[in-house]
Amino acid sequence: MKRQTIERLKHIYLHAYIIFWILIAIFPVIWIVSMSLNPVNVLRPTTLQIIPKNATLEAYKKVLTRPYEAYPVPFVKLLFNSLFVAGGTALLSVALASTAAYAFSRFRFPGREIGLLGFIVTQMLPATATLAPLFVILTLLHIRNTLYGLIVAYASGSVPFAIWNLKGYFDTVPKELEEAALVDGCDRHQAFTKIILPLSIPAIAVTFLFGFMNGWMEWMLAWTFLTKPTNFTLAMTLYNMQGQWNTPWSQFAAFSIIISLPVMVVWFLLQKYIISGLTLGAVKG
Amino acid sequence: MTDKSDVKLWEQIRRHKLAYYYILPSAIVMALITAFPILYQVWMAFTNFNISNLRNPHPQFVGLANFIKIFTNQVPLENFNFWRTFAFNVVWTFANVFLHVAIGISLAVALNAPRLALKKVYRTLLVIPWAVPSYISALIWKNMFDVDFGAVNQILSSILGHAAKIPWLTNPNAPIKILPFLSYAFYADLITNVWLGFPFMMVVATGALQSIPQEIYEAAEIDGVNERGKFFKITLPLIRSAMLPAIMLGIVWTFNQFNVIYLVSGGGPLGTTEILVTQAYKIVNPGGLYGIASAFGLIVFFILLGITLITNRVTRATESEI
Amino acid sequence: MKKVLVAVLMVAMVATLFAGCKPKAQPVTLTIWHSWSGSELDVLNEAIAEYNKQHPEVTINQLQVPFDQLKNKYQTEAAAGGGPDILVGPADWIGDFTKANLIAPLDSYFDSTFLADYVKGALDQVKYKGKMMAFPESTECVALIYNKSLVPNLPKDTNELITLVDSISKGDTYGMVYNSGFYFTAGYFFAAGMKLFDDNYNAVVNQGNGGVLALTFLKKLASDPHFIVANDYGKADSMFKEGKAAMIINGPWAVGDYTKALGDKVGVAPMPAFADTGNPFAPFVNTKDFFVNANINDTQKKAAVDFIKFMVSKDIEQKFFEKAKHIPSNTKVDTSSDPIITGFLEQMKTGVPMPIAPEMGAVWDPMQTAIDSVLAGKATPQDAINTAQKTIQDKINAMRGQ
Repeated sequence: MKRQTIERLKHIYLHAYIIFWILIAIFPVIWIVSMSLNPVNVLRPTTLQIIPKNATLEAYKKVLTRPYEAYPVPFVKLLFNSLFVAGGTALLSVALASTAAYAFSRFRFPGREIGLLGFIVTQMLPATATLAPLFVILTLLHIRNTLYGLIVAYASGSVPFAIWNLKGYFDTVPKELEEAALVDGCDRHQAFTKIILPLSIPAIAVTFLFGFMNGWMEWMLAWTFLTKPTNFTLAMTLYNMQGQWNTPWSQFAAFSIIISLPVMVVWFLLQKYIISGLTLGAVKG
Repeated sequence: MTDKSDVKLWEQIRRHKLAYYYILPSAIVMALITAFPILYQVWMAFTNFNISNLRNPHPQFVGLANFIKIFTNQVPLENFNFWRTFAFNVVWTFANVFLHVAIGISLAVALNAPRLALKKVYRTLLVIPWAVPSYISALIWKNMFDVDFGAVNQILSSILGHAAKIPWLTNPNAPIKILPFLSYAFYADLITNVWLGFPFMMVVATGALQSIPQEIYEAAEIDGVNERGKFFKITLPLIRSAMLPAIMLGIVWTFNQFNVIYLVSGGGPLGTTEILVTQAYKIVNPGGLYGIASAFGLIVFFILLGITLITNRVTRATESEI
Repeated sequence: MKKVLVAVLMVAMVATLFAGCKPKAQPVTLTIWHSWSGSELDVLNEAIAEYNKQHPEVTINQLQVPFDQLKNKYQTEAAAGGGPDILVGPADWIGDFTKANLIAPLDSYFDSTFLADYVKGALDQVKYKGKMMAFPESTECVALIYNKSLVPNLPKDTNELITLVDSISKGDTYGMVYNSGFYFTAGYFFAAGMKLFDDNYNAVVNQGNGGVLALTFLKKLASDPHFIVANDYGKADSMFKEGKAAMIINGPWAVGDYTKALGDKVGVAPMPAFADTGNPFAPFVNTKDFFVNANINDTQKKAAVDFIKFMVSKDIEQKFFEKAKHIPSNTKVDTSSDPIITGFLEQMKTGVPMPIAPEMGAVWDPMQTAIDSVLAGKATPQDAINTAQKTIQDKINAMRGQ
């Protein structure tokens, strides 16, 4: 009995702590929703009124029916493009990084430390520095003005974190597992695909989410490379709403809310894969 | 399989062919895309490249002049003080990463408690700051810090009275006297960036926590270890190797965190919250002084490299053993 | 033999029949990049449709790009040899684009009869080193925008302005929200006598006491609790829209939203004169222009210029004026029906054309720092303007590679 009450008390404390942070996380977003309901485009509200005067859903209607002003590109097409680019980026970065992370984790070869640090080093360049070489390379490959080009460009940005993150997780998988398999007659490749990868699903899921976020949110490279509106993404459309002086803040806020929802859905779905460390536990014990 | 240091290098390379094959795909992609700009920047840093050279790339070679200008604060930019900016950048980075990691881990651990209700919902809600486009979040935070109408000041003044209105973004002086180089705006930027960054660390920590089997905790409880002991002696050491990549990359990203500084305080007031990359941006746009900006970029690069190498040594992050 | 004769006759007949007809025009495709939105975009689309009726062989593609990505996007593509045929942008891009050889000079395409219909100041602004590098579509400047229901009378000079603001402020409604961004408040710097450049485009901002007078004036406003003085466009704009500020300094681009928020309570008038010198407010006057890509061949260039001539014709400019509140560069457009545009035109009479030389890019941030440091109490007006002078001149020297 006592153990249950202790646990229940502990849980109340935990709930309170978590809810405190949820409130902090949500508070600014409530303002964004408030902005999206305002019939007048106001960036800096002068009162603490959360529901503005004459609140309306007009902004949501406008951005869903005509997101990109200059062309009748349907919202669904933009959504599809964004999902395509984000998903492609996630898959490509996991694919490229998992093999490299495995090597860095399991093999001690000359140039290992330098190689690892080298990948971090690439993160020290601002994105704008990579604009010119990406432009050149993607044009040579004839994919610059396409969504495939974007996927390659974005994946190049997520690979370093992916390698480091996967390597860090692979490090926690005991070498004994693969050594047992190798003794049993598997080759390296099978040890990698049949043992390490399944046990690392949490880290792979996290890496996937990170790659997805990168591909979903980026607009700067997209606006520099793409010229066909049927290829545009949601992030580009959001950024496009800003005028030189005037921005339709209500629509901007509404669109921001809309663009955040798929990411949260992906995270909600990925949680199942992240919280799957049960098999590992059995082996480790 | 241990390597003997007296085995010749060539032998070692041949023996580890497989490793190189595994790394090849990523390495090619990264090399193509990042090697070229690095080399180009190195070249530009030693010239006086400016906007007229975009079409006619034959600027003059000026040797170390750009670097000297930067280190002696002779760059023609208002409020340019390389050393203050550098010091501020370092403080900014470590303050942020510390808070991100502390809050992220604490929430991941809290949400990992067995039999806790509503975990999935909580986790999904806590990721909101990461999911919402940071551009609009930064603007909303800027709104909330507004001296006259911002939510923060309005809440503060309704609890503590009218005098509690803090000039978050307009006063270049420092509120905490023992830290005279941290103006009010630093705290505004810090709060905003911590809000933006803790979900990421929470997500990584959640993944990392999964590598710890529940049995270890149960065994510890039987041994009489309390909550604090469980956290500091079991959780932290075991997630260390999985968290270190995120922390190291977090340091690099926060060091170069352009968005928050630019959108919330603009590097101001009067350059008190300027970090190296926002400074570099102002050199290029509207300055058009690409040569000096490249030199600046190289300097930032080496500073980050130094910080990374030191952190790496201290935490042994490149090692495989825990 | 007879058959051959008949055939030749037939060919000759057919040839003479068709000799009088114009040759069929070659199909041409034009691409135009812009960042117009809302009603401006509607006018563009209508104009394209009309142009197609008269020139069915011309296909016009337009691409809308976010404003602060447009310059970079154009530079990247044009420097690589590509880019659109026509670009829409502000005149201050001319300096950089000409230096980098990305836009084509247009003098040979326009004759003096055509140019006589356009505002001289606008045509002067697009000249760089003696060549016409763009064609102006509209002009703009800032003026005093006020809420008619809150402002009983218009002040004639800055002293009256202060008295007026003090009397109409109550509660959390401020008499005026004063944007201390240099672009907005420059009018008083020039009214106080400050000059930016000498004939060689070297900085001279601390010659005479114009800068000091203007900075002192700003400091006086900031210490008055009935003014909100801040370099914050979003804050000023929101306050005016929500009726928390009776007056604001802003340009014609904002009027559309203001009318939506406040209806016909929106009024525009010239800013009051600077009391210390008696000179009127002299804001920057800028133009929005059409640029022609330097990379395209002559046939493309001719087609592009033809379309541009259509876009700046009286009828199209009239549409831009009526629907999008553009201040036309075409003098034949009748703007007397609109009191708001008339207000801006009144202000423009005392305006100064914004210099488009690249040296201008060196001015903004140092002058802003001067303003900010005086308002924060970190520097005296004289020190602030001296520091600004030094920084601006250093930047200019660096630009020139010295």
